[in-house]
Amino acid sequence: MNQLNLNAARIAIELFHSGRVELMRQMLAEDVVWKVPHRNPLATDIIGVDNVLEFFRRVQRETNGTFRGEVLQIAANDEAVFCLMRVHGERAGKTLDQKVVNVWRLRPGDNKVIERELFMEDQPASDEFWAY
Amino acid sequence: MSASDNPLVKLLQLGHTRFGTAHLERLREGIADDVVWYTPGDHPLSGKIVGIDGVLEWLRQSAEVTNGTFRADIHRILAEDTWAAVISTYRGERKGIVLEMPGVQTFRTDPVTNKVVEARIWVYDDVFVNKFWSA
Repeated sequence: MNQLNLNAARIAIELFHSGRVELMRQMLAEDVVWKVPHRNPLATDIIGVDNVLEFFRRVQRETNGTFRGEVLQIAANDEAVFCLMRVHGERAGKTLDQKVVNVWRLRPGDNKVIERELFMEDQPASDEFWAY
Repeated sequence: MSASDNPLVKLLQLGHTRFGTAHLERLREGIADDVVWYTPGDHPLSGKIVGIDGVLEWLRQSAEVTNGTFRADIHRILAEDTWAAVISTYRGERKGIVLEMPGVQTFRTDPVTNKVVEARIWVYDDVFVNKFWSA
């Protein structure tokens, strides 16, 4: 992925994290596996592009539209994208604000995302934020 | 620049090999004396370490308590000039517990010395990792 594509990706990533979820559709493979780790009500492996988009809509609903992601570092090759982000959201009087690493694995040929893994700076804080 | 020509990629590949072959002292060649090293979680090896001596001791301990089985198998390294992400699988065995988990190590280097000045470990499942290192 060249520098121009990375800049476009950075903008798209920030937009879909802030609620413009339809932007993701063209970036994801139909059968994408979107892994949401940890011990909270949202944690599961999400399979399929429609379910991933619905997940991001739910994130916005749960946070009353406050969830945001800022891209801090991004790098890519033909196989994967690494993206260090700061995510922020507010929910039920609680605040989420921490760095996360996204790794998106790409399908050879069309570079669509086939798998996502997430790594958090502070998982207990995230679990507490999403807990009911 | 292709990934294999990037000096930072070469440094990180060499560094992981030196950890894997227990040539820890030679890691001083690529890590700054005042490096800051972050490990997430709540276990005996978690927290912030400042200084190369502490980092080498941390690496020694991670090998010692796993009978030399702990390692990060590198899948790919994505790098810019002064920072890089190593996408890995962490593996190891300790007291009957088998660790096999996706992980990422991020590194920042000094643009003049090209040595690592900051490193951060990222784990996929901190609850399991806490159990593994605390057992």
